[in-house]
Amino acid sequence: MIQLRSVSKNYSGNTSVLDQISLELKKGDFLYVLGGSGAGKSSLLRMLATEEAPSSGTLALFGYALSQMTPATLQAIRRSLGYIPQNVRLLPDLSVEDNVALSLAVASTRALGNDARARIHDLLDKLGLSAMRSKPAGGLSGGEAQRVAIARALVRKPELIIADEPTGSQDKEFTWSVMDLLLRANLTGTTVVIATHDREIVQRVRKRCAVLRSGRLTFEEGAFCTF
Amino acid sequence: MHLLKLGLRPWKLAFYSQALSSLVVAVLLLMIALFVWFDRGLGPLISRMRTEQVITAYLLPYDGPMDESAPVASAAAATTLILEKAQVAVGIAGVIRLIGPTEFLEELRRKEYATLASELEEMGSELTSIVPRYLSIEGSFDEQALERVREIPGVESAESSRNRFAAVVGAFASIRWVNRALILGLFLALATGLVHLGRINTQIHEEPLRLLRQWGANGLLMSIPPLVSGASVGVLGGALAAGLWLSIGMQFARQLKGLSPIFVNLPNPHASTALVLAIIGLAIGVVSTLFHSTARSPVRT
Repeated sequence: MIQLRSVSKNYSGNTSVLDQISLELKKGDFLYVLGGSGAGKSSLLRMLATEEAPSSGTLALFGYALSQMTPATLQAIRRSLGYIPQNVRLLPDLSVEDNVALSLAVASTRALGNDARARIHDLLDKLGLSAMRSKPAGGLSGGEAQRVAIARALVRKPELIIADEPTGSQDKEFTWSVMDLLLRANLTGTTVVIATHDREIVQRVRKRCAVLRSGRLTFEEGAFCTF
Repeated sequence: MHLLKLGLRPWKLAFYSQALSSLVVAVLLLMIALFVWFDRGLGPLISRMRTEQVITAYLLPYDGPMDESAPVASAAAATTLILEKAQVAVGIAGVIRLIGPTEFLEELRRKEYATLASELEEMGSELTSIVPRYLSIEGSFDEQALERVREIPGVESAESSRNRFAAVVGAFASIRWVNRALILGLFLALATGLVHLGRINTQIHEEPLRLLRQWGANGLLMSIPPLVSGASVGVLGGALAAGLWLSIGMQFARQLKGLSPIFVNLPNPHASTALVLAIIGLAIGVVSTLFHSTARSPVRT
């Protein structure tokens, strides 16, 4: 599902944010991307979400090399992705429900059916956002906005979830609600990649880890990780 | 449905920009419509004034046969012959009237010179020697028509009204070019407004389009929000322009026609122009989306 071979990423300066990263994930895998601030977690996730291209090396998603994808393939892959960025990027003037529903609009230009509406309501309910359904997203707190972004990614039933610090602004209660939703999605075969620095999550929900230090993937193991 | 909502966001976030743009589109379209109507009317008017003329051919008094090879027995027969030759000289387009003493007096009365007409009438048989007999030939003729009329035996002299209108024709031609320059200026103003509208909407649509791209939207879906934004401004502008044309434009055009007898032949303003304005408004709105630059992605789409 995800294959990185000697991937590096440089920005306008010469600093190498990611340096010769290699990684492979199969369908249904669950991976934590760990590392301190500035280690390159977000850069790696942005590349996995096809928001950025590697400076060198090969990144393949769903068996297709990013550098050789046709626009149609790239669009199809993006429709199979659920990306939760660190900067949640909600549309502040739209309601919470419309923000979530909008991500489904890519699949169909028609009005949403009852099933889709039920799925949206169910997700908002699970994330404690039912009461705010019709409120403008601009009035939400950081944690609430992050949960809307999570709902927006999950409502599309993606095959691959890429979440950048999805619990970073959550209190304990909602941290576990979010993790529960991600784990449930993983149980149905969805591949999940989470960047986090929350030790408690990593220790309680034991999964594969990739640790980034100064742009290098210094640790990746097949079993459980501790850091 | 949600893409439509995205398309209408500029109305929510920048209402005055959108509303003012619609109003500007409407007013500029109305002005363009009026100037185009005037331009289209002036064309035939100038052309008619350039070619239409009245040739006045003064006839010699009948003094026996003028042409030895084809003698004519009477003054009436001689006049008939002159009329026939004049018709040949100017072609079938010319309308020829023989103005004799009777017609001349009627003409005077019609022009409210009744006293003068009565005084002339009282002169009895002397009238024929005072009042000239002439042919009034109206129509659009070529340059040589006047010369041909002058050469007709029995015609003493002939003059044309053509040169009398030369200054007016020149003035109208100048007005027409000024009118065209104004139309061009209005189009430029419209284009400038559309570029600014496009830029405002670019900013408003930047983030949603980035999200849509991230979610795998194709080019067609991505074009819907800017298209809806532009079209909504265009539709409203076009509808306003149509309403303004029906309520103010047509009235204004009719008043302009009434300002001078020369303008009487300008075309009547049509109500159907309102429909054309509405369609142009929509088209302008759609075209404004061409000025919409979509957010760039480092990864090609």
